[in-house]
Amino acid sequence: MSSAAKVVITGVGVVSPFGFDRQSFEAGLRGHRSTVGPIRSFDARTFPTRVAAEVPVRSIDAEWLSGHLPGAPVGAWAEQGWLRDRKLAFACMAAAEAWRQAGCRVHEREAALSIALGLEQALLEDFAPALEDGMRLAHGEGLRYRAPVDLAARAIGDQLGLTGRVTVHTSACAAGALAVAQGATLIERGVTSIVLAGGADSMVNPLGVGGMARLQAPSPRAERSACRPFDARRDGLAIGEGAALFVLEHAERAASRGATPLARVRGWGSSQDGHAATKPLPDGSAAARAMRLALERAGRPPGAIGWLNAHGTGTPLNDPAEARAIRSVFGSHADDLPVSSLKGAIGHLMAAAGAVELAASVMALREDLLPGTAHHEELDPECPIRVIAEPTQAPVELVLSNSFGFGGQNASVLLERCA
Amino acid sequence: MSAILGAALRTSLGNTAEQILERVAAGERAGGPNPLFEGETYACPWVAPVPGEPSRSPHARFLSRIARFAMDAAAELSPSATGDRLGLYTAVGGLRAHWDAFMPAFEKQNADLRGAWGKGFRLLHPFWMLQHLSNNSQALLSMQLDARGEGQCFGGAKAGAEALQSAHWALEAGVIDAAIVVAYDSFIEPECLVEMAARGAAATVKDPPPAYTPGACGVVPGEAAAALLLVRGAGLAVREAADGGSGLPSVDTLLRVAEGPPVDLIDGAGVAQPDFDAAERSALAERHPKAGWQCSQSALGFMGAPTALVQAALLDAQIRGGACASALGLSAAAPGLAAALRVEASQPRD
Repeated sequence: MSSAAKVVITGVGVVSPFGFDRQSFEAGLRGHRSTVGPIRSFDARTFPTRVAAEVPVRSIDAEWLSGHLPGAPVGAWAEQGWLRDRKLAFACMAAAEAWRQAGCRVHEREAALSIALGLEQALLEDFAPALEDGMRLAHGEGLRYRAPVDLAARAIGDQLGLTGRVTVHTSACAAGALAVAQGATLIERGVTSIVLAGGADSMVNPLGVGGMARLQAPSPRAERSACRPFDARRDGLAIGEGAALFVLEHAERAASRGATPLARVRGWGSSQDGHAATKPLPDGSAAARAMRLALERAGRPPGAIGWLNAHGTGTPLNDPAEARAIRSVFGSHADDLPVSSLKGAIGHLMAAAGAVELAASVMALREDLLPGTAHHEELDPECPIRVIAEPTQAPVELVLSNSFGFGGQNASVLLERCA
Repeated sequence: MSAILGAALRTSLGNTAEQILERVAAGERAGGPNPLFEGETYACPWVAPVPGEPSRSPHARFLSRIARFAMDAAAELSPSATGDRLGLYTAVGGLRAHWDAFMPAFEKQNADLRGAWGKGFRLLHPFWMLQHLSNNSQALLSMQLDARGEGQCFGGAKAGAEALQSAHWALEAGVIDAAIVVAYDSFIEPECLVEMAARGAAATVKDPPPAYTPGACGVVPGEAAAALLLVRGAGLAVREAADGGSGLPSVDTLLRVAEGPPVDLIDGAGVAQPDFDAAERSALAERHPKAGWQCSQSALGFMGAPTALVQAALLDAQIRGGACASALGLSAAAPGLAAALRVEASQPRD
């Protein structure tokens, strides 16, 4: 089974803790900076988890939106306050950037949309009037429930005038990668020749941070080095936020309109652990299968991979399981294969993680620069892989990116350099 | 195309296609006063719930009531493939805030959420986050069914169609030998009733006229859970089309999904908006002039994400029973989007 290698990326848009565009994201990775710090977007001082990797904006209002989404016909979305929701705003910004970079215009509006979205609850600030009324609105009247999971898709669709089909992915931390894989599938299957694909998420709010704190998933240390992927002293993740959207196109369509291919989506694979809802399969066998399927679809051997962009959450259980999976797939090549996790630098972006981390993979292919693993100092012997701590200059032709979600959903996407 | 090897349902009129078809043939339509919570103050007085309660489950804390019905349905399927060769695709209508889980966190909060942790967020259940995780059912189903092959979770009103299509593509690619597709959704929740009534999608009268009849004034909010077992073969195909609109899909969009050889039977979208209903009937009649017409959503209530699966199960049963040789199920549940599944004679079941 081999992918026909038809799918190219022609536009990338990123909103990350490094800043509001792809340029700031790439500069942050090159500079090996870490963005984990005290939470500023709400008062988290009394929370057990007080640090996160935040996009550098405290609150999103109409003035901020007009400055960061100039000219975008977001209309009712901004007027009604929907875009004050961080992840919706990030999704729209990343979509606009990808669209712009790809040079998309009216003819591209037929694009399908394949988007991953994080946990959707009611808009938090809408609870304020309810609280003042002593929770009189117990049945939800007057509150704007973000029950439609396609909210971000609709906002982006309205913003860009899209008319294509919409797919919303809800596979938790694997959703961003699966959204891109699905986009590539739509093109390979001839359903469409252009897709806007990616993910957006933000759990940096009292419910998200509070819920994760109760789960005891984040590191208990309120330090910049809270997340230490594959490190012997790791003790949990750091919550992040952001969005990444990609314009995926059939290579022929891109060529016909003069769009520059930035990378090729060469393969993908997914699997389920079938083990537990709260922890990964310890031997990594299902995760290994997702990686193998990606390689099979690409028609490439494990030894052809030049860099592995790991899921690497910095939690006690994920990292060794993923390391075992990598060792299982790559065998002795694992001794040489550079592996990085971005989560020490930008946190765990949840549903957006797979998408934002793929943007780093595009950068690696274009610049021959492999991002390092922030706050990784001492490799855990239980993780027998070659983790690179510092950014490393190295030519790569193929990159494999892993996203392993809560509940044991695994996704791997393989990108190839465009000649 | 894929072949349907097994189907298990939880609907307002029964748990098998045969039960549902028999009751519909006898003239039954699901609907009544809301038995699930105090519904008198809501604008939608008529709902179509799944009767009874799901099985007791150790996973109850992770799953909503309708999701537990989905687990029950999936447990009835008997795939021959397991492990890496069994794919799992789930479709969830939406993630909706559940007040009972929120109340402890919000009851004593200040309006500006000062001191939020001590005033309530510390009272969130330790597994609150997992309880609201978007792919809970996927995780638990993969354990229950030993399904470890490729799979995805989709969200939204047409997620069932997406899940069916993705399962088919994986089967065709040969990465799995069988796929279980599970979908569930419920509109019988406070916030859904409020929202559906506000935008005129749901009827605000008791015992409203069904779709495609004079006086139709919106759907009856319902719920359903469905699980299908698919294998490679002929029988079931899914198509989607979009027009980017914010309301119901255009007639042209409906016609695009209805392309193909004429069918014997159409299961309509059942939107219960007179103008749309009439346009739908008229347009489809031109494309499929000899097709009979039915509407499962009108009988069962508005189902959302599992609509495509329920339609597939019903139409497959009708084809097997000799009622027709081919059928088309339509859905217009998402803004500007239409989905259709075509069901034809499929492989005999074991």
